[in-house]
Amino acid sequence: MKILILDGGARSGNDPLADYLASFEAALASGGAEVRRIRLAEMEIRFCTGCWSCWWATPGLCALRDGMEEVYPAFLEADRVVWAVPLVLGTASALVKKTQDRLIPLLHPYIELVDGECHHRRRYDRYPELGLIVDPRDPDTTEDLAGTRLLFERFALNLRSRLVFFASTRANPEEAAREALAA
Amino acid sequence: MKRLLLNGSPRGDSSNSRCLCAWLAEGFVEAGAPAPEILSLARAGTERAVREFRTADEVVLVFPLYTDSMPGIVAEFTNALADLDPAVPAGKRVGYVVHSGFPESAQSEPLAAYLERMSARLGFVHLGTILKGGSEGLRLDPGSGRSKTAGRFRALGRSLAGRGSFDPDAKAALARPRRLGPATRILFRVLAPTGILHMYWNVLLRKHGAYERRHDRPYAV
Repeated sequence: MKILILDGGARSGNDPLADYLASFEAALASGGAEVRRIRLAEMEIRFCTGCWSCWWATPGLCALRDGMEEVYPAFLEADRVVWAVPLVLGTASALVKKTQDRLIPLLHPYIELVDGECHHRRRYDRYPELGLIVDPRDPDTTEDLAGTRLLFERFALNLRSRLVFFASTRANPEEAAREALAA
Repeated sequence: MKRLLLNGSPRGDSSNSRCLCAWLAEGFVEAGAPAPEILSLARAGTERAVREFRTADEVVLVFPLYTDSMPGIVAEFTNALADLDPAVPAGKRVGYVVHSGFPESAQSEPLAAYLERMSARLGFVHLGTILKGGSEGLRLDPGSGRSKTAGRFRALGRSLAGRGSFDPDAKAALARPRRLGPATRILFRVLAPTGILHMYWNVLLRKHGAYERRHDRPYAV
């Protein structure tokens, strides 16, 4: 199984999420997964400008040429993508959110009904399943964790995928890796 | 009282959010209040937006639903608020408008729930969140200023200026449909094979000479 970790942790310094992910990644590898981690903070990722070039001018292709050119094929190649998400004010950080926004080119502009709701049509035949590891800080609450999970479930649905795995850095990383592989 | 309308659309001044801000501002003026400043977050940047936020008493943050939450530039702005002295945001009157291209407002409800939690955490006086579906293309319609939607946003501006709260009738009307009804879903399925549902996108694809390439998969591995 190919697992891509999109690491939203800080660029440097004492980042507890980095320590957690090192153990998580090692446990995934020892469980037989082929793991790649992309540290988003080390890449140049610009904000989506809403130009919609990817929908109506250069279909499927983002007009911004930056680190996302490496993320797109890695994302599509993976069987499972685990988002490692530091929480800020109880939800995904701006770095993670802007990366999510930049996945819009992977979808088609056309709309279709999915379980009675409007969603974008798939552009590609398959999309990876998604996982989510949140890194809460004081005073984040269980409600914040549940709310972030719900927002990612919605994000997965719109990305024509599904969220199959959820963990918090408050849990044991080896146990989280076992769950991620079994999900 | 200093009021600020903060346009959080990545498209900045050529956005549907800008239209909604302008209609809210017209409502303020109709109620006899001064026209509030409309600040584009995309153009001004986070630093200036935070400076304006610091000195405002009442802020309405208007933005489109992006991948089921706030756009990245709005997240950067709220992340910056987390770094402020807690006394700065505390007590400010803050409301939100979240609009989406999808017609159902229910798709924005999880985000509205988050915005309420965030407001409590920052000590805002939470004015509520207006949800509006079906907003794609508003800015392209020269007649949209005379539409029911425009009238309802003016009503929201009038009520916020006059009574200090969003007009509940306008808020409820804008949130319809919350979900597609059975008849609409059947109609959607009947029309889907005709391609008529894709007309808006096809016009734009043809305008850019990209219609024949509309199913391209440039990042396929």
